[in-house]
Amino acid sequence: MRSAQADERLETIATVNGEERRFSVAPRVSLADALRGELGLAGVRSGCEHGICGACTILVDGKAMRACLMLGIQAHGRDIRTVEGLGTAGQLAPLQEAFRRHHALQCGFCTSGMLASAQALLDENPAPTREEAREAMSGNLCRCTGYQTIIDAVMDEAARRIAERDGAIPSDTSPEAEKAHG
Amino acid sequence: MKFPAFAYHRPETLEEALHLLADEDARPLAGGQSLLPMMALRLAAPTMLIDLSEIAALRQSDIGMDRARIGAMVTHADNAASFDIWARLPLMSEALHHVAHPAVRTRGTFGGSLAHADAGAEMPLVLTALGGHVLLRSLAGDRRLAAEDFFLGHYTTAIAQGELLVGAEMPVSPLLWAFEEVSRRAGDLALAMVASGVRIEDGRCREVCIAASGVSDRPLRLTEAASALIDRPLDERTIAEAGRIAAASITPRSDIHASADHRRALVDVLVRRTLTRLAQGDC
Repeated sequence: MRSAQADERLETIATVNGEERRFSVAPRVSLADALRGELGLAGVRSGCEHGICGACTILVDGKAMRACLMLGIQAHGRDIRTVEGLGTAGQLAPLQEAFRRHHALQCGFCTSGMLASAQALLDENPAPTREEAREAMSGNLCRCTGYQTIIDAVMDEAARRIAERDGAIPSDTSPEAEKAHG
Repeated sequence: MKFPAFAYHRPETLEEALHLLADEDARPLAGGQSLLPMMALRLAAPTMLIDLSEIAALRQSDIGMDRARIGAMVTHADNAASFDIWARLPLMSEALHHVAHPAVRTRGTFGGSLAHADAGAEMPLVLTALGGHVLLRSLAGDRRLAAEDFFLGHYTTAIAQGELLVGAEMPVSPLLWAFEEVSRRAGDLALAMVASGVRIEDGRCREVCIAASGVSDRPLRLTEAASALIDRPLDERTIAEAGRIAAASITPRSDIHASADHRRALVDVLVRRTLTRLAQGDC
């Protein structure tokens, strides 16, 4: 049985963005704060800290979850993916590229949570209707864009994935790579 | 805000969990999608949390031909994706799509929602409408309580010290069901919600159940409105009458989200919407 007293730190081992990571935190530390404070993954945004705004949404075992409504020590044995695991500084993931193309962000604070929700949606439902995309993204608040461009980006990425699946574009060709190749 | 400090235990068996819960400071932690926000807002400050997430027995469901038993720790997302629940408990399946947001449904649990007993939540209404029972277990033994004996008020249930809600049972209903709710934003707790069920034979209603939530401190069965439909056809006139009776039979409270009159009007509308769908076979 895993146990810790209130003032005691509990060692936690999780796969984070594909690598095994260890950290020790007290039970009261949220997963969002553990990822930010212990592992330096500042792409996890802490907004409302009670599950309403969606800014801290990450992927846990492939499913979208609120990092502010999980304890850090509950990450033990789980597979965690944050925005840092989506693309690299030099090359955005196609989903991120779609957000950029559609101007689906202004201040960017909500974006990492938006990306996690969009990623979870497209992994589960590769061909969502616009209505399904709106429903799937409804738990993420954005105070800048008015949402239309965000849904546009999600739908565009869905179309790209379908085209890729059907062989219309080779799977290793992101828009960035295309540009690099001229 | 950050959570107040607490001790943490994550047992691997139900037996271990029940021993830990015998401590009067101990509180069970299911998916944490209601308890953790309450702790962040300092509405709750338990000093010891018992994390139920590793107890396999609490994640098991048994959906039979006549009766469904659903484990307390099954997530809303897993229940929503269950073919068996869709086939045998379509009311629950429909209501699940209104529970919060996708990233909350992946972690929020069926049992957690029942034990939290928010009067604006969907699962307590489903259990009440279907005439279900909750299954409670403690070191002293088991209890099986009907929904109406379990939900006692806002965030208040009949769970006793040392007891754990391990699941709930619902009969597979012979009625056709429809669910509708109104909330200010998608995924918010509803201002009002209604579940209506009918069994129609020879063009007349032989069995009717209408239940509402969000309009009282617990889910309500609106028996007057349901009785008014017995042995009558489901048409524009009887549906309007049922809506009126339903609205008149409740005494909602006004709060910052909606006035009592507004909630009464919503129940009228939602009863008519659900019954109209049932009359049109849209269920």
